[in-house]
Amino acid sequence: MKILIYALGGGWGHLTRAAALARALRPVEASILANSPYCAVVREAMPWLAIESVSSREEAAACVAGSTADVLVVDTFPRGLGGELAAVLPEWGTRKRILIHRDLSPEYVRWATGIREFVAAQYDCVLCPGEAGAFGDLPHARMTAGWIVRGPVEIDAPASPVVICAGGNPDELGWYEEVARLLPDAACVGDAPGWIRVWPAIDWIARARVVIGGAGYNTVNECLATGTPLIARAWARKYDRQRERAERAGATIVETPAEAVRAAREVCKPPAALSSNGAVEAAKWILAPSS
Amino acid sequence: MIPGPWKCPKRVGFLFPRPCERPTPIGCPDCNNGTIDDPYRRRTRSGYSDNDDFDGYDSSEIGGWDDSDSTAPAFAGGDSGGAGASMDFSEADGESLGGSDSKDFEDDLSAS
Repeated sequence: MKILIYALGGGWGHLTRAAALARALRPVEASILANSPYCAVVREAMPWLAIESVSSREEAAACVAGSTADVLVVDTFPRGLGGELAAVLPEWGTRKRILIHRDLSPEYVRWATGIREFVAAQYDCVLCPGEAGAFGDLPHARMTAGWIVRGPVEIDAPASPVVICAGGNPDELGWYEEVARLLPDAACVGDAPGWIRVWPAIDWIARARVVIGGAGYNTVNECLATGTPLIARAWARKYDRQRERAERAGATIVETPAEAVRAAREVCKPPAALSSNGAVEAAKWILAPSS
Repeated sequence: MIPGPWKCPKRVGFLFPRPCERPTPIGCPDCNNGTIDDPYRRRTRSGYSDNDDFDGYDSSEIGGWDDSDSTAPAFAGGDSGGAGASMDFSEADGESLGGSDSKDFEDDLSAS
């Protein structure tokens, strides 16, 4: 059996979710179609993973249409990121088609007239990876726990109580850099000069006392999986709703770098029982001069 | 010069028609400076054309998991999908799948 995973979309989320699935599917052969700028990073981290990079709708449509895979898995966008799968899916005939139904903006669902019926008709199964959008109530929808690409492993580097995870868009980097300036001891993971460029970030997240990051799918689910508190800046996205995801996860939502730093210091503050040790107070009484 | 409030009423789009709404046809890659009456209809793309159809596709064959594979999840579907679900979409349905408001979705391959 061969599986093709359509994972077009910017950033890390779609590609990482696809990698998580491909890893879980092994030894079944799965290949990923992606247009993320991070394809090379993921290829380097998981050399066994087959990732094909595409750069246009036409190219993506041609790859899916010409695929000989037995199963097509489409991440997030039922008819493709550029709408290019709407005409291709019917050509898949009896071969299975699976939709990974991450959260999806209701505005997009309203805009894409008939998309619910399209999902119901074109997909054999709708898999909701720990969250779902408007199609999560379809009869063939199944909810799973959140997807992570792998569990954390020990890394040989000094631990930092605060880890700043800067995924997302380049124009958001300034926000994270300001947080890093205010928290000079924090470990900074992200695609920026002088930062720790690593994928997946879960190894750093797992040993942090607290993470400051966005509320993208990976960051939130890696924090949930490792039980690490998340201080989240919920960024605006075209198809994703980071604020809702952060709220569902119980993250602390902040707007400014200063708020993020205050929240992180609060989490890292020693527990009250340590800062007011009764034995110390008792010793003072015992050692006080007799009156 | 086209007055400011004017918005191009022509349909554009890759698979799904949407209003163009450009303030001028000058330099427009879709209508070629106003010379194409219906840019959406004239659009062709890799492997497809307006004359494509999908007659070779049998709607009764769509859906369903291989029951002989005991490890496959039994997502048999129900009223709205899965095995035996209606599979009547074709490229022609792009007309009805187009959005009605002006926000441009499906136009940015770097979105997520």
